[in-house]
Amino acid sequence: MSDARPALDDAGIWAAAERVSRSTQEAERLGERLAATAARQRTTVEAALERSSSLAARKGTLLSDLALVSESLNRLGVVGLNAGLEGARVSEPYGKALTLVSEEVRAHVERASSATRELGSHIDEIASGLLELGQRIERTQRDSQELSGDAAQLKAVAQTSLDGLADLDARLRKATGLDPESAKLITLASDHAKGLLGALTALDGARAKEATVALLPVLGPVAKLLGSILPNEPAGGSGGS
Amino acid sequence: MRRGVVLAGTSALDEALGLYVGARYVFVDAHEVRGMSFAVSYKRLAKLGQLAIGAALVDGRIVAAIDVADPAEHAHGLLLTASGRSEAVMLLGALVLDVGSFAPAGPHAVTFRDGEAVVASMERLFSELEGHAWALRHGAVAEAPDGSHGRTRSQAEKGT
Repeated sequence: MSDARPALDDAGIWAAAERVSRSTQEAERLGERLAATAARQRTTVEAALERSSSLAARKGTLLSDLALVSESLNRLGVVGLNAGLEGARVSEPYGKALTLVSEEVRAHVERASSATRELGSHIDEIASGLLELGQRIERTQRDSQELSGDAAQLKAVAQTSLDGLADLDARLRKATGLDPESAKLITLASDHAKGLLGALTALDGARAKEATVALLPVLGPVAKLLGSILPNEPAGGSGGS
Repeated sequence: MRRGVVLAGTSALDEALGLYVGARYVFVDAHEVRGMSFAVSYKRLAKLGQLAIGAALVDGRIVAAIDVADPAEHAHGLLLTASGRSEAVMLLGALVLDVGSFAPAGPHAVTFRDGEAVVASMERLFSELEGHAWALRHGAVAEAPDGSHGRTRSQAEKGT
């Protein structure tokens, strides 16, 4: 039994190394996925920024068009005013008709001018919103770039860890004289043995005897196998068959 | 009924029309208004008190102009004339409130909205303009230490 304890410990070390290796491989896989997602996100953010900038750039065109409309309305207002002046100068009934037309034209011009001013204010508002949106997208773009860098770094770190684990694997193999498969089997056997011992201990005296008798077909070959593996070891409490 | 244009009164307009009464509304008779025109170009020649006089290019002709507000904002103005005169003066920057027929409210006023509009005399406008032009020509303007830029003819006539 003096050699069994280090072998179990070695198997435990191998099992821990196996778990670390699996986790590191998972981390590397996640790093790769993260890098791919970050790349897609960067593309989307760049497209959004381009669209936002393009829309913001149209503010000038819109305001310029609006200025044209405003200028036309201004001139129409002058036409209306001049019609009114002409109406005021000429005698009835032509004067009255001209005055009425003038009033109507000027009322429409006033309403349209007011709507144009409101439209201009809305355009300014939208342009400000787009500017703010562009700034936010730029911030997201910077974050996305940072995320891409971090993901690449994570992947590189995971790869370094895997290389280190491979080195550890070789050193463990040399130090323990075990290979991972054997270590896995030892750990498995140890777990099963602990389970068997626990279950037998849990049975009370009378039932333990009955259970042992019932288990003889199974336990017999186990004891025989153990006896062949450890020929010089005393049987201990397990009893010779 | 009197037919014409009602303008929003300002101290600059008062000064241009020689009113000096602080009129809220100013009425100009339709026969003294040739119409509203666009000045293609306007050049300020001198600032006299609150108003400025200059020259405007209107329909291919250069006309004397008075501006009572920022002319860049008001590129169109009223072409005014006085009876018996062939020349016109462009009034830039005055806000036109209404045009049409208004009930008289005395010899020098018409009823407008909740008040009266003082009837402006174009003869006086031309007189003011000529007074300013005269003062400019002889360098008597802009040297006044109190910033009043000298007195115009109508001011001198009124003794103000």
